[in-house]
Amino acid sequence: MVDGEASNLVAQMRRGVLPFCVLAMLGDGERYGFELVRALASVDGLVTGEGTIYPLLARLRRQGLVETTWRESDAGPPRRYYRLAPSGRATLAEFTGSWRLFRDSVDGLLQVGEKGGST
Amino acid sequence: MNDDDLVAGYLGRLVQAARQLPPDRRAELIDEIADHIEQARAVSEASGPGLQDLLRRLGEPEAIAAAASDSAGDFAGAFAQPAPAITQPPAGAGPGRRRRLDVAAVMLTLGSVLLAPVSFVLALLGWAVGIVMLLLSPRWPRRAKVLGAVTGTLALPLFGGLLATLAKTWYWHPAGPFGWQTGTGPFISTILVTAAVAAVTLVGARLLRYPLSQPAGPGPATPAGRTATGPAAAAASEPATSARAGR
Repeated sequence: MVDGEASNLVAQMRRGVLPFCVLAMLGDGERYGFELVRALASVDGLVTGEGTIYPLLARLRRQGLVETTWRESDAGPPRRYYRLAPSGRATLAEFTGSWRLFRDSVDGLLQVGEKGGST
Repeated sequence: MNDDDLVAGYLGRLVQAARQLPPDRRAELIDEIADHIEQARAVSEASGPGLQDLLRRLGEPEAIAAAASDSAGDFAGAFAQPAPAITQPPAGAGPGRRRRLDVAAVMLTLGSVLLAPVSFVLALLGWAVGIVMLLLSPRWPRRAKVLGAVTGTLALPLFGGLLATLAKTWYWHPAGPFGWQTGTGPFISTILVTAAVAAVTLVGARLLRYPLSQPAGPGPATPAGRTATGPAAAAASEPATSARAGR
């Protein structure tokens, strides 16, 4: 395997799972955009810049996976609140199942590899 | 360079970097980033090093614009239900169970009348259940619900009465429940029944073409009429299938 291929793959995986992480963060109720972005960006190694989350949120809106409402706020501009749409909830559930299966399978193989390497 | 210049410079770079985006998406993206900065400044990071840190956390404008134009790596799309929003034609969208319920609602509201010759009570019951399901469904805007409910309600006495009259005429009963119609003869009744069937089929096809969670706007207009008029009489008992086949 070429050097850098693994880190490139990790970057792709990160990009791939990010939409589902957004859906997951809305799983227990609505959040407003700024707060959502800050919370996601504070998770280790998930996003490189807060700004790149906004295009993702726009895409999830267009796909109908999240719904939004505008509310006035005491300080600053009106806030856009996000919540899961029914199809977003279904998508999240489906991904969660697939992800657990995938994670367990890879973890299992990696453990075999580690044992082999250590002896 | 003062703080506002710093922000203006950052947003200027974003405008430049986002040139290749469609205008509406570009405007939306710039608005959101500007809002983010404004909100962060309202909280605490108003000036100086705090502001610089805020912009650093946002990331390079070029990277943000690239993320907005990047449609690859969009794995959520692969998992998503067929999107109700942009490209999808109406109808068919939405979870299967909801769709089956809605098809049932339309068929009961508009089609229960076919049971009238057999049992008027059964027809009435089906119609009532259909109306309730129709009104409770999230699929239709209020206007469409009223259209469906009114059509179903008008169809019930008219169509049901006419069918009953036809049946009685057939068996040479002098006066059915709508005695005046036997006088004008089965011919008129047949025409009226055909017209009622056509109207009911048109409305049914139109209702079934509403996509799920459609934004409040004008319903899909022309195609419903086109698919329904021709085989109206034949399709009367199955408005649902005619609409689905026409999709």
